[in-house]
This record gives sequence, C-alpha cells and structure tokens, in this order.
Amino acid sequence: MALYSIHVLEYSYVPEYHKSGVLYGAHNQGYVKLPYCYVLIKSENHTALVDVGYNHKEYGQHLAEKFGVENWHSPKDVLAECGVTPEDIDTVFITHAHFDHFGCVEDFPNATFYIQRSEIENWVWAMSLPDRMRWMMIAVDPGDILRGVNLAKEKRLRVIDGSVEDVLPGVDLHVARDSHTFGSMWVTVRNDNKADSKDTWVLAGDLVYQFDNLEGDGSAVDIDTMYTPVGLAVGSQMNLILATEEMMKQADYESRRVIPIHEERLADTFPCRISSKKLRISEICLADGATSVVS
Amino acid sequence: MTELKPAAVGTGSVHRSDCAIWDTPADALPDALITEGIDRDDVIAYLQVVRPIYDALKRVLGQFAGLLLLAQAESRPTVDLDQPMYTTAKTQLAEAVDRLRAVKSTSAVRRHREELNAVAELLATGLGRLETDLASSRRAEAELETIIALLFQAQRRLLAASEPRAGMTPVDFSHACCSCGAAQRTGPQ
Repeated sequence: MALYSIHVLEYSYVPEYHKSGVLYGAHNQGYVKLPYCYVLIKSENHTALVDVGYNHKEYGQHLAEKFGVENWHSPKDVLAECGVTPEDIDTVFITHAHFDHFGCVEDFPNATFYIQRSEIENWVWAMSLPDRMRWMMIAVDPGDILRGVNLAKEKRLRVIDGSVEDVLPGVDLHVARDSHTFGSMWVTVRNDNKADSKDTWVLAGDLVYQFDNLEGDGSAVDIDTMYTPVGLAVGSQMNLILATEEMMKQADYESRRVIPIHEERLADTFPCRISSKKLRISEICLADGATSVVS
Repeated sequence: MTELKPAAVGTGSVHRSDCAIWDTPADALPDALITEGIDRDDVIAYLQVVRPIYDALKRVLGQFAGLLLLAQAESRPTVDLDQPMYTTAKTQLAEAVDRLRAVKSTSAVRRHREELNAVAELLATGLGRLETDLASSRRAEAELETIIALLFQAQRRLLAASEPRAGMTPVDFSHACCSCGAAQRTGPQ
C-alpha cells in the first residue's frame, strides 16, 4: 500500500554553482548545476508541499538573474504539470526560513504552514546581534517573516517544537537544530502508514543538497563512502552529520530514499521528464491507483 | 573624491558594494531619492553614515515581525514586553532613531533621509500601538491589523531606501544557497 505520490518539482536552477557550497571542503573543484525545487506530496485526501520557493515579485527575478539563477516559474505553472493548482495545496512544510524556501507563501491561500519554533526564534535572536556577527543573519528576508505574521494571524501557521508524528497520516516532521540553519526541518513519509514502515521516504530540505552528501568519497579513511556535510551551515557540520545518520536510519540506510532537492542526478535514480517550461519533474513514488506524470 | 567604503572586502565570499549583483528592481532603487548622483562626496559620506542605521532598522523590523509571528502562532495574547528579545529590539530602534537624528544631510539625499525617517517612525508607531494595546483591557483584533499594516509599510519604505551600491540590501545573500555561482565568474565580487 502506498498512500502518497511524491514528486520533486524544479522551479528554477543555477547552471554553475560552486561545488564547495554543496559539499563541505570541496574547494577549487569547479561548478555543478544546482536545481531549485520543492516537493509535492499527494494522496487522495491531502495535497502538501515541502517548501514554496522564493518571492519573485519583490526582488527575486532581479537578484536571481544576478546570481545566475535561471528559468524561474511560478508555483501555478510548476504545479500545473502535475494537475495541481496552488489553491489545492492544503499543507506546506517549511524546512527553514531561507528566502528561497519561505518566499511564496502568499501563493497558497488554503494551506496551513508548519515551521520549527527554533528556526524563527533564533533568527529573531540573531537579528538582535551586533554587525560583527551578521554572518548569522544571512539569507533571511524580514519581509518573509512579516508575511508569516499574516499566516499566523489567519491561524494558518503552526510553529512546532521538535519532532511531530502524523502531521498528516504517515507524515512526520523532525528537527536538526543548529545544522544548516537554527531549526532546519526534514519530512518523513511512511508511505505504508505503519509505525515500523518498510516504505519510508525522507525529504531532506537543505540538510542534504546532493547525493554526495550521503555517499561522499571515503577514501581518506579507507572506506568507500562516508557522509560529507553541505557547504553551508549556520550551525555545525557535526549536527549535519548526526541529522544525516538519523535520516538514513529512518530510510533503513537505503540512500536513494533520502531525497535531496538540489540534486540534478535525481534523474539517474528516478523516472523523470522535462516539462514544457524546461524544468525537471522527478517521480519519486506513486500512490496506489495514481497515474504517472512523467510517462 | 571620497570613496564609498565597501560593505566587505577580502573574504572572497561577500560581495563588494559596487558588485553588479546588488542591482535591484527599479522601484527599489533610490536613484529617485538621491537626486544628484551617488558619486558626490556629500552623498557618499551620507551613505557611509546611514548604512548601519539602515541595517539596524531592517533588523528591528525582522525582530518585531518574528516576535509577532511567534505570539500569534502560539495563540499567546501578544508579545511579552519584558522578554529580552523585545527589549533589545526596542533599544536598537531607539538607538537607530537617535543616530538618524544626528545625521547631517544635504538636499541631494533629502528624500532618502525622509524614507529612513519614515521607516523609523512607522516602526516606533507600531511599537507604541503594541504597548498601548497591551495596556488596554479591551484588546481588539483590528489593532493587530493596524500594527501589521504599519510593519508592511515600514518594509516597503525600507525597500525603497535600499542602496545596493552602498551595501544596503533587504536580504544578505552573501552566503545563501545561490551565492556567487555564475555571477562570481562574470562580474566583480
């Protein structure tokens, strides 16, 4: 039994992103393509997203162009490839408050949003610190936080503290404190809806950018592969490694079940197609009775 | 001629204030606010002085918004005015207002200065209404709407006062997920 279909939906990309941003310590190793994606989780009863992309209206397009981000498309256009409208989305999980994950909240008028308390609380704290510590305040748009106030006022924002099981049937939320950000969250889908699931998918947010974070070169310690953290951590690499171990454990150490959203090579592992907008749709799994959107 | 001090130099990962990356939409550029060009000595001197004030106002906006978000999301009556996160933000706003008052400006930057004044006043007004609201025995949902509206106005005015060439931007992208990709190879960093 599979409750949910899961699709990774590209909404823009950076053709050349420095590899050291993806993989800790990979200095002077060139550039990789970095897709920007959110994840659609759909069952008969729920339509959910993991993250919502960045706010194109205010500054996104201009800054994205300057940073080499290409081919941005709206949630409406991207979701249409799966027969979904933004209005259909009833639940959104915000993995962290970076501008490219927490930007488009206004596009989803019927969704209830989830974010970790430690993520917001610590950003507020970081913003109170002196200029010399401003590195800790990066990549968060006060405007996004302000739009979050509106969500909260409308009772459409749930601020959670730590792990929560069955937010939706078979869907759990987990926190990796002081890792990529102060309160980065990942989403676990137990697709058979069993407590000891044998069909678990882990949606890693930015705790894992690419498969190399799960199966990096382990030759330095005389093993085939080892975890290698992402290049950007406001918290620590140690906490990223510990979170990776927890995610892998949930996936019964089957690395293909831990889904990185900045990974071009999803195409090597899962069925996919390129949409009319020239954006990739990766089909991670299908719910029972669901029809493929990539074939 | 006085040179505009870069926002950051030498880290290899933070863009200089003259980096093309900081180009922003036309309606957010302060060219309309700074009437006689950014390369004038008096304008450069002014921008050097107000940049930390701009940053402080941006952060205060973020702090108030975050505190309101947490209070609303957790169904608390409102922000706890005694908590350090609130008192720190309030102190920072008061300091920013004082520093802004002391800034000497010329006619060339008068409108830009007015925008920053407006941001500070909107934040202070929002703060005042929050405290008045808390003191009231009959708290109204409409008052919260007003406070949020004031913060949104402050955000729009802050966007208008952004000056990428002087390191005044609404979001610090310097280490963000998209930072310095292709742009690093095609333009100044």
